[in-house]
Amino acid sequence: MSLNNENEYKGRLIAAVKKEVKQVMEESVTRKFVHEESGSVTSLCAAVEACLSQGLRRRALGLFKTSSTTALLHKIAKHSREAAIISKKVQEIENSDPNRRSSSSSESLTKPTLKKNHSLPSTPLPKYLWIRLALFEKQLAKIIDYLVSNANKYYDKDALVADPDYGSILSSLLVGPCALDYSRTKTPDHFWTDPPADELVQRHRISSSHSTPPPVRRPILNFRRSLNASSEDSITNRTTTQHLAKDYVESLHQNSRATLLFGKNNVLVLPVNADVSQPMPGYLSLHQTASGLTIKWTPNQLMNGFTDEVQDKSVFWDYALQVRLDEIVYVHCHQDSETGGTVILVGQDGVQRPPIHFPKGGHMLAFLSCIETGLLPRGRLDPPLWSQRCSNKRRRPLPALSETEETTKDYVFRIADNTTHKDILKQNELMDTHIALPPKSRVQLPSTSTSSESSTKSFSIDQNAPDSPPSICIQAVCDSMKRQIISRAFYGWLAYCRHLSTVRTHLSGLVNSKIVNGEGASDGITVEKWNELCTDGVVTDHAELYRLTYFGGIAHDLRKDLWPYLLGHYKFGSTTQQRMELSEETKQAYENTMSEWLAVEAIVRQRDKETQANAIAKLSSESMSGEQVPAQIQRDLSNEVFEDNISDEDSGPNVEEEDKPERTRQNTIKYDSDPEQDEKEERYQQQQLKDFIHNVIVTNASVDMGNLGSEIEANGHRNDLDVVAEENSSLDTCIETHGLASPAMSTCVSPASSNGGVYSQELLETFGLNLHRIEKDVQRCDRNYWYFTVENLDKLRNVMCTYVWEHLDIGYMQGMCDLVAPLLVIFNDESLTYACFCHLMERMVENFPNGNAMDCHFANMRSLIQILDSEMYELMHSHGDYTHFYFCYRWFLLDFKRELVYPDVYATWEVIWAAQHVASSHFVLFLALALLETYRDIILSNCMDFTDIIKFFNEMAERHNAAAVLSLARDLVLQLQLLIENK
Amino acid sequence: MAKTYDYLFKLLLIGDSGVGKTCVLFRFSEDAFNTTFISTIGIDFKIRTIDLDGKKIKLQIWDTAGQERFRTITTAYYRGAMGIMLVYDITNEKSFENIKNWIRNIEENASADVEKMLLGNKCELEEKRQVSKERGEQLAIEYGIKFIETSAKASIRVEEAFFTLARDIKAKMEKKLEASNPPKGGHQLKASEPQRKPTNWLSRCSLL
Repeated sequence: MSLNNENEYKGRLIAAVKKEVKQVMEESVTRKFVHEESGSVTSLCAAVEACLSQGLRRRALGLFKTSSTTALLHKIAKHSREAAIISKKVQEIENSDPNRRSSSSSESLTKPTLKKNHSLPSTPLPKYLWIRLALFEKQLAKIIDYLVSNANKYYDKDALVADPDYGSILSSLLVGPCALDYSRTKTPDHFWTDPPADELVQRHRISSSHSTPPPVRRPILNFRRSLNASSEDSITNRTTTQHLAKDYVESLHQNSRATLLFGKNNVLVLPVNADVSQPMPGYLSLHQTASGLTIKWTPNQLMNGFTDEVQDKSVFWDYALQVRLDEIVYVHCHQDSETGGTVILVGQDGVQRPPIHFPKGGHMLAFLSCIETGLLPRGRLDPPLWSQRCSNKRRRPLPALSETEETTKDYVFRIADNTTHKDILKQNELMDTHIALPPKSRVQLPSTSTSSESSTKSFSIDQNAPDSPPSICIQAVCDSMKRQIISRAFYGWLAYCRHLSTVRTHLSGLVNSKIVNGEGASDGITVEKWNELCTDGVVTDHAELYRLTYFGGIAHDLRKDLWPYLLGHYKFGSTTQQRMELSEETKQAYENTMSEWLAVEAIVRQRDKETQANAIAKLSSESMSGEQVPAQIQRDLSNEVFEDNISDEDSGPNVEEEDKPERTRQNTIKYDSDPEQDEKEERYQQQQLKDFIHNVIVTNASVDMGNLGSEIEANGHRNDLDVVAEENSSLDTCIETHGLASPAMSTCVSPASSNGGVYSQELLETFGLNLHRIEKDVQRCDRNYWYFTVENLDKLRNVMCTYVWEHLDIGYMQGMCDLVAPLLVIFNDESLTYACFCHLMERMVENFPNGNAMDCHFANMRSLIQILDSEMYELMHSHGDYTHFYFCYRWFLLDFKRELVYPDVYATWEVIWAAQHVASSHFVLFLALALLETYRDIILSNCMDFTDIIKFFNEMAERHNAAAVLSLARDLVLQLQLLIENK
Repeated sequence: MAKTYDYLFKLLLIGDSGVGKTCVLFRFSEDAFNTTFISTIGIDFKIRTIDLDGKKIKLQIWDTAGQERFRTITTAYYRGAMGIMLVYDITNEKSFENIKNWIRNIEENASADVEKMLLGNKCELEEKRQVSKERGEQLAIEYGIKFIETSAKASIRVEEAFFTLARDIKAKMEKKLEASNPPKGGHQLKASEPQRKPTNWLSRCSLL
């Protein structure tokens, strides 16, 4: 490296530090504090690190570690007090996390500060740890000062730090930043500090793990999932007998799903299908679940034999008994003085279940009473087990069931439904109708009446059983609570159904119902694919073309050929010949149209020059001439303004004013408003004006006439023409004849010429206005993009003017240039660009102020966010309500053209165009949603309000990861499609 | 080192398209000039905190699309504005004439007591001037507002313009506060005051 280069390099290093110091200092002035994780702090540290690394005598000092500057710090810690402090802190932090390699400050490390996300145990530490710490501790300048004054020890002699000038500059530069306060915690002022978007993104990157931004959270889908799970649970409860042994035994105990009402060991049962002849002992239990009572009997072998060898226990599983009580109609009790009694259950099908033999000790009675209470309030035993006749509420079992009595008697109890059965049925019906009815009627179901019903139900239990024993009352209360819980779950479900119906009614139009598979389409249309699709110049399989484009985009070189298809200019199935003819026609038509407006443009230009000359003349003559002349000029100019108003405000609130243009005009001229005089005066003024213009042009030829160039000889004619035009307009006899080629224009159009075109004043003014606007915007359209050289900007202007000439009713609106520009870059052909732009505008024009698509977009965004990200919706709604979504305005107006860099615009546009045939004709909504969701965590964690979000997205423009956003948008479409399908 | 601001002022820039609103704003907020700006679509804003009589004032300046067609979207921002910069281009007569329309827009959409100011931008282009300084002054007098000719490109009086507007807003605000019951404060002004306003700044009001 030559000496010069080296010096230059050092100069660059110092300049970088200088720049970053300035940035940090500015930040500290404009904000209340500098955030420790601010991007500018990191950049500053990087710049300092670069300076310190340069010319470091690594080998001589034995610094071989990944970050030599950190090692250097530890080395000088022996001599410098400041370095010692920082060195100690660095080591403390490094030691606090055993997982990381030591002293690699340029790696990402774990940092124990600033954690809002507690779920992440260790978060990556910022780079340049020691420099950072030294800066925060305000020691950096001193440490570097030490290094500079002892540079000969640590640095080569041509190092930056050893340089007599640069070294001291470096340390003194850092004095400022070392005096600042750095903050790591969010203060209440946080909202007012307005960190720039990149800082927010960086903070987010630092504070969250390295994982890619989380996919959209879908609370509603989660909800659905859990709903499914619970329903599956109940299904398994009902049907399964094949639980795993352990699970099964556990299920016999009290658990969250079922209440254990009764349990007794060594109850004998002779299983029906058993080979054994003797009843075998087992565990009898009675469970209450949401769906009803269940009696289970499990052979002892299964209960105790877990730890035993695994000899074929499977047979015992077959013996196990599980009876749902709602399948049982009769309970037969056989009393036996020898044993504890036998219970036989008889099902609705008339089949007897195996007899259950109770051991002695009143267990059968206990079992039956448990059944009775368990049945309440929906069912009961008939006759009641406990005598109801006893008003003193003393428990008094049926005499026959008392074991003390010697008589052996058999009893039969019927399991009867209580009156509440009807209610249950009703509820079932309700649920059934919910499933069966179309969404709308579902929503209309009166929820209040059902809830009141359920509350009267719980009432009626108490009333029905005024003298039931306290245990039964408690049971009833428990039951009613349980039912309320269940009903709450039901209403949750109902709300979910309503929600779904909202989705269906409002959002089903946003996506196509048919879900197109994106398999094998991720590469999009490559040259090979295109060769397959396009046989002999004919493209027939448009569905496949759309599909490939939607999922994978188009190879750049093919865009020129494919975009006209996507935009509808080329027809599918057309031959090369047909397309060539079409192109020829298009070109011819374009040129014709251009010649039309070029002629008008020439007139407008001429008038402009005159106006300008007037203004300049007026400026120079202002002092000496009277009011008369300026007033006329003002009148002439204000006409333009006034026309402007007409075209702009026809839908505005000032209809009255606009309805009386004459008066407005008069007001401007300060004449009285007598309509009779109007015409006379106008003519008079025009005459005066004409004279004036002549005067100006003839006499003041030196005043800015140089620009007229070749047209100057036509001046006289032009002035005459103007007057003719104005007169024509005032007489309302405007004829629009044109078709002249522009070269002929300057000679042919004179008042005397019979074959010349005469344009109405209105037309001239309208087009002139549009022309000015177009020029203003074309001039500044994407000037920093390589394509837009002066001549290409001219093409842009031509396309724009042609469109406006053909669509004067629409007129030019800001943003149209942005829409033409990418097309022009791809086609580099004016007529094709024009034709495709016309197709594009069919959809886009509705977004502009006179259309109503924008409001629809906003409304749809509102619904989508509400459905798909309720958390975000809450934030938007609560925080100064920006659910009007104005911050998306530019996105929709320009199809994200300003949000993305050019290559991404191409990729995005073609997907938008293809999407309507594949997934959604409102794909822009999902793109917008994807943009929001990409930054949702940043938006949420910073509690952004409307201004924050506008600022954020304006600053993030052209910095998005378009591929990720597109892919997320496709996912979101699919998500909504699935939600609507309710799969 | 760290300071809090005392007031938040919302300002708005309006005027015909191409008069240099975005450039004026860029000059004020970043002290730079950029020739590659494209037309503003929708809305944007920039922030700068300034110091006035010892008060930190945060200026939130909204930049709007110039074309009148877009005013349905831009007028939504008139309402919250406390100060409005009306900008015209001294080399464009029409943009000056249209100031009348913009003022009418303000009257229809902004709050009645919004501070206004007239800026004649691009004053470095003296050779292309179409609107004399006198006419600008006269128009300003007509509407009872202040007038400054600025140049975002040459950095002429842009700073002064915003400071003047901010000072006027501050003065008006403090006057209003004094007129009403001082401890309670005016209704409208309260919104713009930060909640944690510590000092009894009324006693130090120097402008009145």
